Order: sequence, then C-alpha cells, then structure tokens
Amino acid sequence: MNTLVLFSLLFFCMAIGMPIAISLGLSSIVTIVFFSQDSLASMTIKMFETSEHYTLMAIPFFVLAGVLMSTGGVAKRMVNFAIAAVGHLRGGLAIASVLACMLFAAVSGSSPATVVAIGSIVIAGMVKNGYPKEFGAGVICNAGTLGILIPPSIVMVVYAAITEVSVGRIFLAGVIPGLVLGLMLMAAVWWRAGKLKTTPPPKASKRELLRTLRESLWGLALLVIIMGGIYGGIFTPTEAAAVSAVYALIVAVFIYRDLSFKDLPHVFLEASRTTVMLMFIVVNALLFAHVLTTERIPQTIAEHILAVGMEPWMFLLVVNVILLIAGNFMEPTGIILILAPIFFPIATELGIDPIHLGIIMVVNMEIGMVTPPVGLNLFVTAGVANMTLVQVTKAALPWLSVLLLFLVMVTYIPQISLFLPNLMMGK
Amino acid sequence: MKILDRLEEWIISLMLLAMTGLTFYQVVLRYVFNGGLTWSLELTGVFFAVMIFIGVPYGVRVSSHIGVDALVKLLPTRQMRAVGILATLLCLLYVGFVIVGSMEYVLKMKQVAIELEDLPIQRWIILAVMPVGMALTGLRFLQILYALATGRSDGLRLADEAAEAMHLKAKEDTV
Repeated sequence: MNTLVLFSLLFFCMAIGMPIAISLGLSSIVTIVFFSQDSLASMTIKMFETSEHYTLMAIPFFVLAGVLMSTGGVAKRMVNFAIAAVGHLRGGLAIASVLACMLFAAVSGSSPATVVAIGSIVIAGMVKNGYPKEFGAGVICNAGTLGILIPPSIVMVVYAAITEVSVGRIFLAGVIPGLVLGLMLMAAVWWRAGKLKTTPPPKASKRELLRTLRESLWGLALLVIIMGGIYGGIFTPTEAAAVSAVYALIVAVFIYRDLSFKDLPHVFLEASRTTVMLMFIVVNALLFAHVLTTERIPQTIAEHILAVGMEPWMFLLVVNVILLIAGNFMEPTGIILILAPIFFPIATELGIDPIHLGIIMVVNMEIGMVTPPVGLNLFVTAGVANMTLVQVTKAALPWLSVLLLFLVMVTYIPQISLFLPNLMMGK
Repeated sequence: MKILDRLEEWIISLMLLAMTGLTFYQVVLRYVFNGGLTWSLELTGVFFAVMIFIGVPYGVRVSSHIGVDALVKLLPTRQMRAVGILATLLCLLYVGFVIVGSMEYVLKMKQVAIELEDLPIQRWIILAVMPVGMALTGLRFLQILYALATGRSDGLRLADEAAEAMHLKAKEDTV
C-alpha cells in the first residue's frame, strides 16, 4: 500500500511536469506523514544533513572545474593533439574526434559538455574534408557519452554517495571501460570509413606531435592530479576535486589565458547553478531513499527475486531493460538517484559487486543520452551540427549498436570494470 | 525584487568560492605547514548548506530545475496551463511541508541552544537557512502561479539542459 502511494505519487508529480527534485520530496513526505510515525521535523533534518555529506561536497568542485575547462580553449588543444596523433589513418579525422572526446572526458564530468566542446570544433572540420555531416554528427553524439564514463564523472560521484561505495574505486573502475569503448568506436569508424572518399591529412611530424601534446598537457594534467592524488593517498576524492578546481582556474586564467578575471563571477554563478540543480535532486532523493529503506521496499523485492530463483545474470538483464527504458525519459542523475537505492541492495544479495553495478548503470545512462525522446546528446549535437533532431537520431543510430554491444560486454564480463580497482586498491 | 535577485546570485557564487578556497587551503596547510584546521570541514558544510538552500529559489527563478515535460507538452495550451497551475500548487504544498518541518526543528534547537561541534555558532542559526530558503522558494512559485493564472505563461518552464549548453556555447563564440 505504502509502496503504491509512494510510486504513484512520484510518477504523477513527474508526469504533470513538476521538477524531479520536488516530485521525489513531495511523494516521500506525503508517504511519511500518512503512513509512519516519523515527524515532519525529522524529515527535514534528513534533508539538511545532505549538506554535511562529505562525498557530495566533491560535486560543486568537479562542476566548477568542468565549467572552467569548458569555457577555455582546452578542447581546441586536445583536438589538435588528437589530429596530430591519429589523423593520418583511414577515417583519421573521425578517429581523432573520438580520441579528443576521450581526452576531454578526462577533464569533464559531463557528456553534453563533451559533445559541445569537441563537436563544435570537429564536425565542421570533418565536413570540410569531405565527410558526410551525418557521419561526423553520429560519431560525436556517441563518443561524447564517454564524458560520464571516463573519470572524473559527476554521475559516478552521485552513485558513490547514495550507495556509500568509494569514489576512488568507481572512478578507477571507469578507466578500462572508457578506453575499451573509445577503441571500439574508433574501430567502427575505421571500418565504416572504408566506403568514404576522403583523403586523410598527411602524417604529422614528430615535432608537431610533441608540440600539440605539450600544449594540451596542462589540461590533461587535471586527470593526473585527480587520479594520482586519490590513489597516491595524497588527498581524499573531495579534496582532489577542490584541488582540480583551483588548478583549472589557474590554467584557464594564467596559462591558457582563455578567461579573464572579469569572466570569473559568471563562471562561479554558472557552476553554482548546476550544483544547486543537482544537489536539490540529491537532497530529496536521499529522503526518497530513506523512505524506501524504512519501508523495506528493496528488501521485499529482493526476497521475491530470490524466491523465484532469479539468477544474477537474469537480474542484470532486467536491470538493463529498466534502465534503458528509464534512460529514454529522464536524465542520468535522476535515474541513478531513484533506481540505485532499489537495485543496490538486491545486487548485494545476489553477490554482484556494487562497483560493477555502478558501471552498468553509467553505461546505460550513456545509451539513454543518445536515444529519443529525452536524449541530451541528441539535442546538443543537433545544435552544434545544425541538423534536425530526427536527422541526428538517424545519424547516431548505427553507432548506437557499438554502445549496445559494449553494454552487453560490461554487464557480463565484470572484469572489465573490476580488474583495475581490485588491482590497485585490493578486493 | 532586483536586489533580492542579485543577492541570491552573489550569495551562492561566494559560497562556492569559499568552499573551494577553504578545502584547498586545508590541503595546503596539511602538506606545506603540517597543520590543519579542525573547524574547516564543518564550515565547508555550512557554506554548502547555504549555497543549496539559497540556490533553490534562484533555480526556480531562472528555471534550472529539471523535470520531465514531454507529456505536458503534448497538451493543448489551455489544458497545459491548467496542469501547470496544479503542478505549481503541489510545489507550494511541498514548500509548505518543508517550512513547517524545518521551523519546528529550528525552534527546538533554539530552545536547547546547542552549538556546532567545532565552531562557536548556535546550530539553529545555521539550520534557519532552510526555512528561509524555502520561504523564498515559495515566493518564486507564487510568482509563477500568478503568471500562469493571468495567462502570461503556459507552464512551469523547466530547464532545458540542451538549450542551455548551446546558449553557453553561443555566448562563448560571441566573446
């Protein structure tokens, strides 16, 4: 009964267009007020305590670092390096675009931001070199999803906070999948480029390669600071995030000089706005998770699942189907916050590693971003490529099969995700 | 109103700046001076709380809170407006719940007069940011309700992240 009220209220509120945060909060509060002994005051304490959650403090810092890196010419330098490195191959410019997306993903925790930053530079370049526009747009739209898979990733911080797994572990778990997916997309580009009549630019000289590498090094060092700092035990993930924000500020203002001091208030406001939007959802989602726990909803579902003898692989199949459907209608943070508290206890019962589950969820979110009607990357790509949504959706479709194949691999080969964190941090 | 608008913007930006600066400073202290501040973490939390709860009404004003508007957009204008009014009223209901709950808690805390763990500040003063922020949020929703009722707006105007990303890009190009 309570469960029914909770979920029908949630879906009703979301369907009539209320903000996701308030939909989560209102349905939880109403359920608590009418069906449990908890007082309204104790609910609001729960909400306030979110701001004291140490892991979550990493979010504003990563967002700030991302905004600083996106407004600068970091992307441009990464594209130059990528072209110098792989541009001479068959389909070289498109392969370089995928590489540039991978590099940018390593300084940004957001997928649409990756598409905008890289896509706005490379799509025009590809068209000039004789690539059909659809080809370029499709590649970028899909490769841009790497933004949330390759650390740092805001979606992963949110997952880590709500399931209480280590941020360091899940970041590390994203590295190999990120590389694998990037290479798979590059291979697909190489294969499909056989039919195109394009002449790749000449192979760059070693000097040119080194020069472009040196120029993009300042940006790439951000990932080294974050990962090295966390795994070297120098600082906590939250501190690493703050240090990377300060570093990004120094690079953008003093080294690349893409930003001046008078741009900074705008940058901070921009980052605050995104942070508040995310955090207001988190505040209410933690309330929602609290209701789920007190009502023992995930446990009940888990008992049923175990009773009918569902195997872990079947459960993961169900998880994927639900996430793929949800991904069509909602944006990643919301989905993770609503579904992770439900899936997580069940997965634990079934002996599935929570880090593995996290990566599966992230990959599903990536796919959700390139499928209509709510596919953020589609919208953004349509914007940067000057195409209609329908055109972009069609252009993205062939490459989506790579993502789906990759999802199957990640789901059923846990080692892809778990090898690195287990190696570096022990089991 | 204009002053309030600017004030919200300044407060949340400064809170972000302060959080970043303080956390960074803490790392520097630890490695360069082998020291640390016991209260820095707690203070960072306070900044975060102020940023979140003062940021919420700002988010409503600039419509940055995301939602699912795919279904509502299918409706004809008249129905869309009616649904928008219902949605806004429910948002106000939520705001009401949170104000009542947090006020109850703030008053209780004021009575027992507990201080923060590492800072000599009464806890209720910090907690008060919640009812204050929510009251401002209520104000913003009332403005939306007024615009809907008088026919000046058709919906809640939720954030369009994609449009925003493009907007940013466009702005950058013109610079």
